Amino acid sequence: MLGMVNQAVEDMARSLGGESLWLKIAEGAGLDPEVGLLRMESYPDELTYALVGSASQVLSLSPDQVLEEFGKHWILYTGENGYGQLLKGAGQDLKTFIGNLDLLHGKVESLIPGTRCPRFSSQELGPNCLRLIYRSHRKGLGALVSGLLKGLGERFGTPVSVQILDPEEDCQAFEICWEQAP
Amino acid sequence: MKVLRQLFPFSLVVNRQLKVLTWGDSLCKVTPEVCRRGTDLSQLVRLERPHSTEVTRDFLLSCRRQGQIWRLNTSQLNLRGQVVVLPKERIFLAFTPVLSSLQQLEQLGLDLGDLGVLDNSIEFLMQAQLQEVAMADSTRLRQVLQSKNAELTRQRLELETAQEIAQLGSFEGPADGPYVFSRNLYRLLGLSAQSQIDLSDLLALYAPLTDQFNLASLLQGGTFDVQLGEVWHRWTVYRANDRISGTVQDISLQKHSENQLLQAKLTAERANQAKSDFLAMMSHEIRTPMNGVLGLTELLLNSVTEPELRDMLDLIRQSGQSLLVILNDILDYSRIESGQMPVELREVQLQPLLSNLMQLLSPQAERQGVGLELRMDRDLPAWVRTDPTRLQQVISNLVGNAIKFTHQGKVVCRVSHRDSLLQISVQDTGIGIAPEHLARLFQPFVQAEASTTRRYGGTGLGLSICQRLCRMLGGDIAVESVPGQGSCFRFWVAAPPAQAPGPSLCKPVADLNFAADLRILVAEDNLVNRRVLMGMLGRLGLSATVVENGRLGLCECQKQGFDLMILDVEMPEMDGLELIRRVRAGEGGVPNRDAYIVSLTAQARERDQEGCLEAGANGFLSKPVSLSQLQQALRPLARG
Ligand code: HEM
Repeated sequence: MLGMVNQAVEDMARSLGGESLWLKIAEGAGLDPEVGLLRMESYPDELTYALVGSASQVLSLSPDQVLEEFGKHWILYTGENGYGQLLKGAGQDLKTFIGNLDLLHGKVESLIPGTRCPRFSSQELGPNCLRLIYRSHRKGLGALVSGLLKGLGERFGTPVSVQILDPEEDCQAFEICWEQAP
Repeated sequence: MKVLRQLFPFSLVVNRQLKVLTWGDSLCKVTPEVCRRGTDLSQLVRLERPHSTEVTRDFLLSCRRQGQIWRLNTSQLNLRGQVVVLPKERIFLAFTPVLSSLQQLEQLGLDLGDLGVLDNSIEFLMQAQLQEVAMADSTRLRQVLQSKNAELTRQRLELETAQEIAQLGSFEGPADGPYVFSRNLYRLLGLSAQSQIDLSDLLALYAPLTDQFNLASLLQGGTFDVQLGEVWHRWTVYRANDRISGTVQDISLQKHSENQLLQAKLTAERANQAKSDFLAMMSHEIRTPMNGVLGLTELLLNSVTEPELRDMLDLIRQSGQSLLVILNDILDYSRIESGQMPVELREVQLQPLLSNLMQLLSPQAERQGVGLELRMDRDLPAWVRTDPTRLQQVISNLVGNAIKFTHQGKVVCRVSHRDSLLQISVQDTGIGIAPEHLARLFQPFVQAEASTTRRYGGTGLGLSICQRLCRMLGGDIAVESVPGQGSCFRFWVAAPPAQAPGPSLCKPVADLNFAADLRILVAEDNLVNRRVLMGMLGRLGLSATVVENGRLGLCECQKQGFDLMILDVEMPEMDGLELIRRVRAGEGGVPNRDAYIVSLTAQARERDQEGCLEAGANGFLSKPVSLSQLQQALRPLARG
């Protein structure tokens, strides 16, 4: 997975426990902390899992908890810092943004060789709710999606509740509801 | 039409009068106020390129084949435009926004979804943003590299300095080259750092190469000390996984001091040998006159009856004897040092050997008022195989010491035997030894304290001789001691149980009788010794012709025949060995050729005794000679 995604673990660790916490986690995942993560470099997926595993050990959180934090963090800090304009360009409200998710990842995938971005589609479930269908080549990242969505909710000032439905063979559905924006 | 508008969400359709008929959603999102049916096109947009001019239908139709750039009147947004003529004289203006940054999208209140599916300007913008990220990454990476590089340079300099100080160069590379050579290696070998070299070039410096030191042997790995002119180099090569790494170090200084050390060691060894030789020489030089003193004293004691004089003579004898003990110690020590102490293993009957020894030592104990006990294990084997002389020597030394240093109480000698080892401990209730002195106890010339020597006498060699003897006999010695309470010396020697040997051939040395007319020649250069010998022969009822050297002895032989010759080995003009050889060769007349010859050696050294036998002597006596030894040596000539 691209360094820019993994970087959220680094940012999260730094904001939670400073440089030393990040060094601990990086070391646990076998990463040279001096070089750190390159955001435009495609890393093997194992590194992502290793980072999550290492963070889960160091922070005594479950991997899913780490993934969710990791997702929130990505939206609120990592993405904001490096890709602020992209985030903005993807939509000014939750619904638009979610509607553009697939388009965005499609463009990213075509622009950055070596990436394999997830696919998204959505159905409206009423004025403040929608169902998001997520398809990925990778396993076990449901909690990451949920964290990302909660991050988006915070970003737009419309806190969301995310319900993860049982995963199916090739996709996973989420039911997302939010309060009407003030 | 709807499809067209979806493909071009910024498009407009105008009628023949250039009034707006329909519009794309995204265009209206940006300028909702003017985006109405019937609005004049010129109210909405104006032309920028090919040139800003009033827009007429004809003009529009004229630039159908070329694109135009338009600008929205209400905002800064530029639009790329293409004119398409539709039926009913309508004109389709296919606009796409010209975006210069993603930010602009946000400022216009647009998002990704508002752009046409075929519009890839957004990709460029995303690309730009991603590139920015990549640039930032590579800047950071360059910084990391720079600082790592600086660190590497620092380390390299450090290594170079270290190599310079250590006079060492290094190289590294795959076994079949090419190698990287450290800067100091060039310096060490006197090469310029620019020169292109490989290992074989370096080796060529040492030509001619040897079987031990060449490229093939080097690549096997190892350490090689080689000379380059005056300089010594040590090559150390490691081979691991087909990579070679190695160092070359200037070890001239080391070699030099090694050499000096070796020289010093040789000198020390030579000095030590000289010391041993000197001691041995001195001791037998002293033994010769001692022989005289003791012999003459014995003779006097036999003839003097006056008690006062006898006491004095006895004192002389005792002093002489203790001097002899010291001399023997020194001689033993130098024999052990030079590896000339013989070990003679034979069957030994333990019980009599030990009891006799204790009997010999008990007068000393009695004199000192100290008890002496011998405790032998019940299951002691009757016979063992060991060297009885050395065994006795060790026991009597230890027991003698114990008595010497004990003022009251007793000395107990315990004997046990297990696993072919004979173990003997000598425990006393004497003054004991301080812990700090225990360790040095067995070193030669060391007594527990210097003051001990003054009070108790002795050479300080006894214990070190004991230790060496025990080791020679396959054992060792140890000591435990509590100052003020006593010491316990424990030693063990290899002594496997043995069978009793066949019946002994030795008869007790009871009075032997010699024919009074035995013709005897004595050759001895030392006057005192001559007297002693004559006196002793007299006691045996014999008399002799006496000469002072070998040459005179030979003359005497040529005059008369002898049954017995007692010949000193060391004499001026012609020594004893020479005389023996000549007599045996017949130079001293035929009858004398078979005379019984006993040689007298000053050194109690087997080497000399062997020499005598080789020259043709029948027996030998070592000085100082006692009456019984003389008697014993002459046994073959005794009567009956
Ligand atoms: C500006 C916004 C975003 C950008 C540029 C972006 C880009 C990317 C990229 C480059 C990857 C890595 C793919 C690879 O290396 O193979 C990725 C993965 C992912 N993205 Fe996004 N993303 C954005 C926002 C979001 C949001 C808001 C979500 C919310 C659901 C999301 C969900 C995911 C997930 C779940 C993955 C993990 C990969 C997988 O599941 O296979 N992304 N994204």
